[in-house]
Amino acid sequence: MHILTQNLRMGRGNLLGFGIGLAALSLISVLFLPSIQENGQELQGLIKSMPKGMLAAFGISEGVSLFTPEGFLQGRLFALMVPLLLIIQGVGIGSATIAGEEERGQLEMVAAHPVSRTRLFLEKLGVLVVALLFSSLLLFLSVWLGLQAVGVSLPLSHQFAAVSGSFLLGLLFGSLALALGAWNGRRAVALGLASLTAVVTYLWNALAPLNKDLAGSQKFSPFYLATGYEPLRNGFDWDYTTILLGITLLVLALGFLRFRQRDIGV
Amino acid sequence: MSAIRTEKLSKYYGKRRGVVELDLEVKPAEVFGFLGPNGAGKTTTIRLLLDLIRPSSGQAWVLGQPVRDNPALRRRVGYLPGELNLYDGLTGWELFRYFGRLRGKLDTTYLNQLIERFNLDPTHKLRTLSKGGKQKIGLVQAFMHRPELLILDEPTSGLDPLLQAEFQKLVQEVRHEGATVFLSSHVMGEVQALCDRVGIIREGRLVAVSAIHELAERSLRRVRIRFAEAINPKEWAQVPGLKNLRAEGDWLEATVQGSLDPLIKAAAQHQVRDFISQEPSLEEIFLAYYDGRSAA
Repeated sequence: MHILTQNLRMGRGNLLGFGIGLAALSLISVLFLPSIQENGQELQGLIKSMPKGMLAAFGISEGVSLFTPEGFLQGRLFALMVPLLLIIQGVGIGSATIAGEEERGQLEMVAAHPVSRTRLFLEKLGVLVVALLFSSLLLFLSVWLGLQAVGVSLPLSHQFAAVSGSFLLGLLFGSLALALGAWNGRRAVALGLASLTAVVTYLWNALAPLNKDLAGSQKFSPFYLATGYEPLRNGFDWDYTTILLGITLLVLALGFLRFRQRDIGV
Repeated sequence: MSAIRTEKLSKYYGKRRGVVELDLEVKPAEVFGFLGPNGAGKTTTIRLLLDLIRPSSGQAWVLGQPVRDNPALRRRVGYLPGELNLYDGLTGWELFRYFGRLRGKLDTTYLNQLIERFNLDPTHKLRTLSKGGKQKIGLVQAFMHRPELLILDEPTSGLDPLLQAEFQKLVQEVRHEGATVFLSSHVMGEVQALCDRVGIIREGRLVAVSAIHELAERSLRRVRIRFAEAINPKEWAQVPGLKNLRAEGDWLEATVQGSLDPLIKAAAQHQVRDFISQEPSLEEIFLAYYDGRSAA
């Protein structure tokens, strides 16, 4: 576990800063709930006047009422903002921890130690998982505390579902970046391809419903499986979670198999 | 058991040549110099030995064990890369502690001795260190767990002469304690002072392995002498071992093969103003080596 703990120690400043930022942003959003509910009628009228496509791009789909607590938090946080931030963190760490260190020549030094490729890969994956878990924990606590403070009650399991969905998105795209970096050792490739995939699958989930022919395909986007199905309203979905974890493991397995065989640092 | 053994070890990066059918053997408790110009395949060989890169064909053994997927073996090896890239945000101590943990136990007494010998302050962040300072950190981490085999890629680059001497002493010490040292270099002088045997690698192929004194005997030197008065070229043509002799006015230039002794004895008959002996390039040594071979 030394590689994992050392990496976390070296990144502790970023980890803490990112987690606190994410938690603060979420807390502020939750604290706005009462005022949104008071001015619901006026805002509803305002929203109606906006183009559907634009609203969809921001994660506000037609079925969602922005003026229930679930709807507001979905639109404000879990449709885009929170998953986006966790994906940024995941992709950043995923692309840096193998490919980034490899490009700077640091990975070679660690790999020359009594450390197997398997252990190296797993501990690097551990860095990604622990970092995302830490951010998600702070996120969960801040949402929970905020809801307590404004006196809105949402089932705890639904809150958990929304946070875990966002976590899984960060994990999926972070793992994609990690696996791409493990595959070819190029940080820019890992970062770019993983980000691009995230953007495309996000837009797919957000915009597919606007087109009658594509509407059904929305469910193939990881964004739908993670937060698009409105976990705050509908609760935790085991099937979706299993599918997301399955894709994540598949991606990781491919990266790992190549990493075990290939040359490091060339 | 050999400290290092390779059998027809080849590495291609795509079509680019790394090393070609390398048969190398390093004996236990010897200091082996791996000599070659830049790009000859020294670093490729070293990275193959550490299982950082995988051979296109052939095999390698270190301390009697195959290197492939054998992480436990690397606990017994100390490694200094040619291009040292450490974690800049760590201090020397933090780095030693990290690498020590990865290898098992950290012998702090020995580590402290090494730190003192190399005059190192391990409380500074690595990013604040000079190139030489970083190289010292690299050397200390390679030696600190008392490995049975040291694999050092261009170890003295960036070290000042005083520290080079300290490094040479350290190498001799660990050799006396039974460790094997495999070091690469593109500078003949460094290897001469340190090594028992050298292998010369050129364009990916091992072209010669020889005891250091044999190589020195065969080696060429370019010598230029200035005398106090004009000299007679005919007198110098009889001195054994001189080639490409040129003499004009008060100076003389020649290539000397083998011992310098006859030339120096002859020069001593006159008043000498200046004496310049140039170390031969690797290429010249290599050529001399083969000339010597084919003549013998």
